[in-house]
Amino acid sequence: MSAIAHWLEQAGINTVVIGLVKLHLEKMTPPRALWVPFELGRPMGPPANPDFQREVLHQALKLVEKAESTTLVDFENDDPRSEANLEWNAPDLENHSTIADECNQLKPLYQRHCVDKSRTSVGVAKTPVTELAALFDGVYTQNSFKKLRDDISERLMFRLALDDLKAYYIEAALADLNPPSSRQLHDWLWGSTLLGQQMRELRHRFMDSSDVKITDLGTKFIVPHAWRD
Amino acid sequence: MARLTEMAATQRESLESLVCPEFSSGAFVPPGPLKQRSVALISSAGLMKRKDENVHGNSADYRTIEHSWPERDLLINHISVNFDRTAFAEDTNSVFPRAILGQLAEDGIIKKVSAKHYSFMGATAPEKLRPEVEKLAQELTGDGIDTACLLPV
Repeated sequence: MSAIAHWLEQAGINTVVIGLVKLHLEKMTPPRALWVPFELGRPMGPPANPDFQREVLHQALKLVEKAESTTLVDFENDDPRSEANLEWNAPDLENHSTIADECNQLKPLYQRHCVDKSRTSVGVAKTPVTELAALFDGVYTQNSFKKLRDDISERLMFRLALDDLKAYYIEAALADLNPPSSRQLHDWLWGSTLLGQQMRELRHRFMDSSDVKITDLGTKFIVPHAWRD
Repeated sequence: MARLTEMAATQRESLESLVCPEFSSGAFVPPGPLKQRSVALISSAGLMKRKDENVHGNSADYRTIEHSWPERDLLINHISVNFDRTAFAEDTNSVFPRAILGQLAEDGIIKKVSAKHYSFMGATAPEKLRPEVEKLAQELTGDGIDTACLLPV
């Protein structure tokens, strides 16, 4: 974003960057930046906390009013949702043998979250979750990448399927009235679900593939740094 | 949590070793009253409308997201698995604060919210983005937008 800020500023557009990695702000010196000490992926901090988010955005925008030269300011408050919520109830999963079965058990929770929020973040694969779960099970058990869309490769489709399956699980886990921290959600997804376990296994299997594109998929695009083993 | 010291070692090393372009132009638009500003949001989250084509991993183009575009049809399609998406699942404003910006306009803190906001694929090499950013700058100027708030993931 810092590069974009420099080029927009050259075109006469005033910019403020809300930055998550302070080292990059220091190296790239955007004209005005507010560094926020939040987790990557949430530049405005806690979800569903409009007062906190408003303070972040207001502090950032105020920099266009006062800054006379390159400015980097720290936002002082941490994300209150980074603390674990001990009242949160993680979905109590049975021992399933397929992702299709696990998705089916989570379906009522996922649907409750969709109704409560009037939306879902599932959808990038443009394919029903039941088909995505079957795709995953086929890849895991038979190494078979079934073609579900004509406009993209099977490899890209699998990556999108993973994004949607993870979003489906996360939304199911968010159905509880006591919202958890992201760490709690990720610990549950990667440590307590069959999907998490099998994604970690697939990562290693793909990394050993003779197909360089599959190796790349396993190396970079399945498991985040924090849960790689 | 975005403090490097709190990250997994491999992620920290990846961020620390990232080659960052240097900028010597020093372009800097003079300050002015916030309440006179017309503001657009620009995200690097790889946002897409539900009905649109997927955002590909090395895309340089930007997507336009109208301020009034329904939250239920806004998706995140970034290639990276190394950032939190749970906040977006719960509240799109944690990534793309259209409603919060709207409140600031309603309260007279800024002059106006842009009718359109924008999103790039943040994983794309910065230099590849430059022609698209210059195109976006012309679009912003043509729409009377003088301020951009840039948001990473």
